[in-house]
Amino acid sequence: MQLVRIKLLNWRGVESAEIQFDSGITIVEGDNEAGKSSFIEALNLLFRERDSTKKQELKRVTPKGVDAASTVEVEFIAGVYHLTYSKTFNKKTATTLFIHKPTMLQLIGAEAHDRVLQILDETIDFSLWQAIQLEQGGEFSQINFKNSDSLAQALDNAVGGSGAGEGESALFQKAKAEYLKYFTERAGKETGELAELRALQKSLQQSGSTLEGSLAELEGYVDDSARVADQLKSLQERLPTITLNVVEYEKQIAEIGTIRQQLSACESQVQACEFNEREIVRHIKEREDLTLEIKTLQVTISSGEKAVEDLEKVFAKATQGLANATKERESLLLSRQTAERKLRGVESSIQLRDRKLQLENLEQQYQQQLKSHREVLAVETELTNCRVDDLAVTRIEKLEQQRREQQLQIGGQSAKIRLQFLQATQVEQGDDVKNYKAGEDLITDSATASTLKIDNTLSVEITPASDSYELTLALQKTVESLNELLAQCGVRNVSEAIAVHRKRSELTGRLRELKRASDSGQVSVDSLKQTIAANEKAIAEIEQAQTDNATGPLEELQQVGRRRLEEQEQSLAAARDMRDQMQQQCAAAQTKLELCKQGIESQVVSLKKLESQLKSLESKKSSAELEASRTKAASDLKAARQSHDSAKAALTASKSSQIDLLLDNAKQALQRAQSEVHELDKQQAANRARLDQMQSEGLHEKHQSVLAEYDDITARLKQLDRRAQAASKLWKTLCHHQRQAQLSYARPLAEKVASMGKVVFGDSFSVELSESLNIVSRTLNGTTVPFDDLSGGAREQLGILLRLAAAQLVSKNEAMPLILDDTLGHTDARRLETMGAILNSAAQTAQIVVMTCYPARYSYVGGAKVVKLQHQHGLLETER
Amino acid sequence: MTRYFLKGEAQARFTQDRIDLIPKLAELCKAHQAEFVVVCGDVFDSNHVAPQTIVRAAEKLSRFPYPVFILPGNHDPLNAASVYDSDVFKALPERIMVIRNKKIHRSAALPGIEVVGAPWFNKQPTTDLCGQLLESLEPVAKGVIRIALAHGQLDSLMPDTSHPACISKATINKALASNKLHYVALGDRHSVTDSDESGRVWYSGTPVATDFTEINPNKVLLVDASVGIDPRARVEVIDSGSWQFLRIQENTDTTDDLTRLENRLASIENKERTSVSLALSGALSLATNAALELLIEKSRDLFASLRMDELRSDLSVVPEQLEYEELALSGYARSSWEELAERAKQSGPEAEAARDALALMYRLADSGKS
Repeated sequence: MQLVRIKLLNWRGVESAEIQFDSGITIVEGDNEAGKSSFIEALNLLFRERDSTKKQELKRVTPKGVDAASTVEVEFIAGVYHLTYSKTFNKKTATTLFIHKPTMLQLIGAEAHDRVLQILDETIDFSLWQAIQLEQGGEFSQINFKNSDSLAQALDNAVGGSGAGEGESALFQKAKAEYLKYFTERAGKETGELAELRALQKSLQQSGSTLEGSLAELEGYVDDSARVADQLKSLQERLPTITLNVVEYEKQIAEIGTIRQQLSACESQVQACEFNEREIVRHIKEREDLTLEIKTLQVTISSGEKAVEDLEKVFAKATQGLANATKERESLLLSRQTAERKLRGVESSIQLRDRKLQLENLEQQYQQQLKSHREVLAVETELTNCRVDDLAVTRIEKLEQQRREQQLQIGGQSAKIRLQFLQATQVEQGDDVKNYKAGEDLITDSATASTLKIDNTLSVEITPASDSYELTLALQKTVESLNELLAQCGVRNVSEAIAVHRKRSELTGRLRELKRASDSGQVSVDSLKQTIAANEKAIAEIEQAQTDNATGPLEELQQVGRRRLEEQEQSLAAARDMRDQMQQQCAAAQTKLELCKQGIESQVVSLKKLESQLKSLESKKSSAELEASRTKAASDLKAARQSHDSAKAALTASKSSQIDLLLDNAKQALQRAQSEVHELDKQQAANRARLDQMQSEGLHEKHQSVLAEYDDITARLKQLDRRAQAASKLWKTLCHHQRQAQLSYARPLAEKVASMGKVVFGDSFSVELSESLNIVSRTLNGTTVPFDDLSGGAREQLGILLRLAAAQLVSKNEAMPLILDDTLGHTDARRLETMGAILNSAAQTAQIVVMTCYPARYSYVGGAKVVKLQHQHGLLETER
Repeated sequence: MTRYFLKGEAQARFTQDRIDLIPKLAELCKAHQAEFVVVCGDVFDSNHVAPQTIVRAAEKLSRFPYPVFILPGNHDPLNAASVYDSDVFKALPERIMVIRNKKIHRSAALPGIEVVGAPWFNKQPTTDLCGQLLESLEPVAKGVIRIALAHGQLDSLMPDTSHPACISKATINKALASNKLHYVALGDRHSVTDSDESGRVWYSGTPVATDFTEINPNKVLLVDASVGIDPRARVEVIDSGSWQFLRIQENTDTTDDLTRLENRLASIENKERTSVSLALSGALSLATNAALELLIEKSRDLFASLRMDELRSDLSVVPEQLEYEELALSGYARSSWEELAERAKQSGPEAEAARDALALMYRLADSGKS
């Protein structure tokens, strides 16, 4: 499609105006409200609305206060058609179409409108055309390419595809419809018949389970009924036997009762006879015991009296023994005192002797210490006379040496030194170094001081002799010093000084030895003196205390004395023990004697009492009578026991305890059986009632019916599932491939945008397009920025580039004009230039119409045709 | 009896035909001059059938003019829930007799005839009930014909004879040889079976077919058990039922195969009383598969039931190059087809879904063209 011209009459602010378009780029310049946007609006309404429309949008295009209609007329070329198409709105409405080519034709009204739509439909992608237009104030954002078949075709061609035609779109829609039969669009959940059948299947499964449960319960009742019936039958069979047992045992129990009564009477009789006999025997026994007790007591008293006599003898003997023991002890005490006194005399003599010996020893030590002290004093006196000590002798010897050397120097001359080398040798003399062979000589005098270094191993220093006067003076000074020192030491010459020094050394050694001997552990003289005095005092005291002097060997006497004393002590202890023992015997004999006497007195009283009792009993019943009663009682008891034994034997023979147990058991068994029968009857009745109730429900058929339905639904569901899976598979596969195709479509468009963008933004420019062909991001210098985060200028430029790219791609098949209304408002001067170049280049393949109130923005578009709109509604056209 | 593969009116027809068998048997008796009827178990599918089923059967039996001896079997055992203890059964005429014990049953209308039976008292007996019955019998009096009724499987026909409830063939032979009886009527097997060379031990099968597994169903036996020159009983197999359960096995690779299947289905008579189970195998093109699906869909309403036997079927749908070209797909539709075709070549559920998806695509694309 190519716009040739557009003309407006009474359209908003435009009274009458016409624009002639270039086939390339046309820039329509005009101030604000000059009517630029009115042309775009009129163009859109011309194609979109019928002249009869009552829309407010159209009512507003006719200026207020103007009594005329609003008309738009457009001349354009579409495919093979060349047409002039006009519409008049709001008053005297009209639609006119002139087809100039290929065949001349004029149409009016709705026919004209429809024919234009048909031609547009045939020749251009109207929806794309509308999409790529950029209106004033419009967002520079994305373009809705969704319904653009032509762009899709162009892109498909660009990627070398054969193109997905209407057939594929239809198939896609059918596949989607098929998918939506079974699944929801968004969540992909089962829907429709599939969901219904699934729910029904679940419900049937639950019903089936419930019915199976009921049938199992029913079968349970059946089984339980059979079990109960078996138990009942078994019980009914046993019941008569159990009853018969009870009757039989009860009869036997009655018979046993009689025997028991007889036995009880016999037992009472036996007890009475036994009691009678026991009483008589007790009386006899009582009398016999009493007699025996009297006799025993008499014997006891007699023997007690004899014992008193014996005890009196024992006591007398013990008293004598005690007196003897006391006497013996006193005698022994005297002997011990004598022995003790003798021993103390011996020990005193020994102590006196030891003290005297110690005193002698101390006196010897005292004499020796006194002698040593005197010798030390003599040595110390001699040392004060020998004044040549170590320091003095050293100084004397040194001065003597000095004196000798000086004397020698005074007598000496200048010496000549000759060195003969026995092997090759290097000699260094001052700065001069010379090598000597074996056998060579070196001769030097000592007039001048010099130093010879021989092979770095030997250094010889040669000092020349001093002046003899100076030497003499020095010698005198040395001699004076020496003499002065000798005088101080009290000696005449050096040799005497050395002799005195040697003697002093010996005396010092001797003094050190003496002091060491006097200090080594020996008591001082004063201390010894004190000790001797103390000893002498002690001896005097001992001698004064001593009464008789022991003679003979003192130690032996001491031992004998001690032994004797110990023996005396032992004897004394034995005598003391004997006396104590005798005292005890005396006391014991006395106590026994008294007790014995008291016992006899008591027994005599008892004997009298017993004799009185016996006499009393005899007076009541004689012993003979008592014996006759006992014989009779024994006879009665024997008879009663025989009767009892026979009754007991009869009871034992009747097995009463066993019968009791058996009867008790039989009764309980009968009771239990009757109770069980009752319970089972109740249970059976309950089972029957439940069975009757459940039987009436026809559970089997219901279950079979549910199973059949479940099976049918399952089979249908399986089929439906398979269809649903097929539909899902197909739909998802188509979606996937469509998306892949869309993504591949985006590539040529992105490349086109990129090729233009490199001119504007630089070589590093690239864009990413979404599958819906919108710009996702821009990458520049390696930095990728999402479209929405870009500046307004960049978004505007990218929006224009995307539209230009789409228009150019489509133009190969079907050209369509790109209309830009007041764009590039956010673009700087540098980019305006490059954008101008891009627009100029794009105009080679696609018609471009630019509306602007800022002509300077488009001054960079080289080959543009410029149309100027003026307020006076006149037109001024210029070409640049 | 409810058959899972019968639906709606087909199931109702089947149920009614089974009830109507009773008057039909009366007609057969009349036609063949039979004197009485024995039924060896499983008159009812269960003891828990609906009261109306019992009432209807009892009503038909009450009108049955011949003596009938009914033996409770494993499906309708004589337990606490037994249908034979229902009031309607207790009210039946005396000639309709339920064998409840081992006693010898006689009918005033049948002089010289004795019937004994081994009824089941529960679903799982633990002993050979028939054997117990036969061992308790005394030899038959002269001039009397004695028939024994039993239910269960003969050990001679079972691969596993260890089950304690198996009927001992040896015991039967011994009883026959000891002149304790003259004929043993057996129930449980749904196929007519002559079980002994003596010709006196028969399973009568089922009078109305009930399943695909039955051999020679829809039969009753007309038995002359009298003792004469021929030691064998004279047994005639008579048609009684009209239902059939057909299992059709076919290869369906080509359209010719499909035509053959179509002809075979068309040739079946009495379709409203015929259940068909199709076991098909082969590799179908998309077009052939579409045709097969159409054939099945069309035939389904003609038959009492028609189903694919999924277990025995082995069908795979393989798209042909020709079909692909015929559709002349382009763009993403074409690449989608190619992907699905590639997956369809493999095996497993994923490949099956891909094949189905191809078939669907073929159908959708093809319908767009026509």
